Amino acid sequence: MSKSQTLAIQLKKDVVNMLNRAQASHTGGCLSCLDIVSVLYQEILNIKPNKPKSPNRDRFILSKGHTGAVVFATLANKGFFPKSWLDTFCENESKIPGHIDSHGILGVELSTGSLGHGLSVGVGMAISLKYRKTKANVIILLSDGEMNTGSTWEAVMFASHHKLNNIISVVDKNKIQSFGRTKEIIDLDPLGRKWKSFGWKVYEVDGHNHKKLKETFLRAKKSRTKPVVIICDTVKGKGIKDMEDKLISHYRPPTDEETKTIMEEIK
Amino acid sequence: MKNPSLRDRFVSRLIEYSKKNKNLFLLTGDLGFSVLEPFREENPKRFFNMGVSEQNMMGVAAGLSLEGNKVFTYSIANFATSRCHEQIRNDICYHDLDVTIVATGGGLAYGAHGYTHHGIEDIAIMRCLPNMTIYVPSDRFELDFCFDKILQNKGPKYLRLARGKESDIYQKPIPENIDIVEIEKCSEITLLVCGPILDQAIECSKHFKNKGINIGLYSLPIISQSLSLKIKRLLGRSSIFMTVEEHKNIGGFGSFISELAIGMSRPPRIISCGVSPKNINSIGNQEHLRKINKIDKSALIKTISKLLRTL
Repeated sequence: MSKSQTLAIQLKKDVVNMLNRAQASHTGGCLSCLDIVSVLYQEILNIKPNKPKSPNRDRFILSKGHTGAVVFATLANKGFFPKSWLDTFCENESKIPGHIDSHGILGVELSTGSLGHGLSVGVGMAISLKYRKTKANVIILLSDGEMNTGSTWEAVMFASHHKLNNIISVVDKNKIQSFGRTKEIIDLDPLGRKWKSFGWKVYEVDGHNHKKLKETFLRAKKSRTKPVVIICDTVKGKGIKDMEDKLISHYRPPTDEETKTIMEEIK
Repeated sequence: MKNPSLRDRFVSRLIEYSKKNKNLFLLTGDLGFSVLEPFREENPKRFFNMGVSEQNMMGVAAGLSLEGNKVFTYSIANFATSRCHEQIRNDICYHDLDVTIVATGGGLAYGAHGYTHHGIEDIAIMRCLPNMTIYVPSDRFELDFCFDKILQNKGPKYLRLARGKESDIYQKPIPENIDIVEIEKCSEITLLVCGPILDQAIECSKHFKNKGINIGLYSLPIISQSLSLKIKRLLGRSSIFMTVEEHKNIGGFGSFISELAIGMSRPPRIISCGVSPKNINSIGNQEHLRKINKIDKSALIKTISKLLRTL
């Protein structure tokens, strides 16, 4: 088992516990991007807890801020803040709310929660990194529902026009958004061809295959002239049988029984 | 030598500062033809025409500022505030970032262009955002005064320009250690004015002065909660204040002053003069629209004359 897979198992346990304890929503989106986040933090991102503001660090923005639980759990496991903080998820005066927040937390670059913001902010960071000749990357994790937002496409056009090859966008394509299937609401496909026609280098990959994810990220970092998008085919609610590929996973927290089952499976 | 316009003055101050501060960036939403070119020539790597993409522009400004840069954005009032309000709210204001949103066409400056170009709600929707300070200079001297403060302020800022070609109102620079400019001392009726409409208020005040009646007059080019105490102190010195602004009389400068007055144990009477929501269909030049909305010199004289008769 790879290190990122080991991390993913730990994250799954932590995230399911957090959501169950807080009776919070967005279980489906958390579980669909959990493998992606594990590979990023274990294998790809140059971010260190002892130097969280290092100018040379990679910048990671969770644009799909509703799945902040996954990043909070990752940062706690990586030593950015005490793991006991995870027990306060969504509680009164907690530092870690349902949507990701950078206030009072080291390792979070941007507070998000409304879709369509992350890529633009990432573009601003990428311009600054290039201006200062810093060889760091900006990685932005987006949802597929987020592809409905016009602001994202404004940023997509701008990034390729300015050849911001230090940007890697990652789309968690779990194919279900708030009120139905993406195909039924606004059909995104062919999503890869759309990004390609906007001037991006496109990779499409199984978003739960750690080996493939790692290989693709490493390839993406070598882009010379174009920004890169990695479209990850994922399963919403991955790992909880009654939630997999179901709309309800967007809203329902894991039940006590599901939580117990996950903990036992992981043992 | 002819005095530079407000817009040209703004750009020359920005260029001057950019020579010392290599972290200064300027983004424009595809506006600024014949105004911003000198900055672009001087700083090609720190100037971006973002296209007609104001939401992206504000997000990019936030990203640049998160990296430690001082960022200015440039657009027309409504495009710079309404269209991208959430980006300003979440990305810039919530993170308390050093971004100055520069708007032209504040107020009724673009009157003949129609309602889409009337910047008459911008102060209301900027004023309610966290960490935001608003600057509304009336002429180039107030612009310089505001610009010096903008350079020192590391939080989100909104700089509201009008046509950018307003004539001089003052004859000399405004001292930097004041926030409220006294033009005529407080009297029984005192005008509090925000922005280029100051010229009408000055004419109005002169009219009464010629008749031997003193009407107080103050210019407040900065709207910020940090001035609350100073403003309340001023409000305690008279019984009637008339606020004058080129903005809807909902949520803007008049509302700002009224909200402060409400918190006083003995609040003065506040009369708010601004653009009436009833007149949003009116088209015409700035002079015409000021008249329709009763914020021109003659209308202000009429309102004060009526008030004086009641005293």
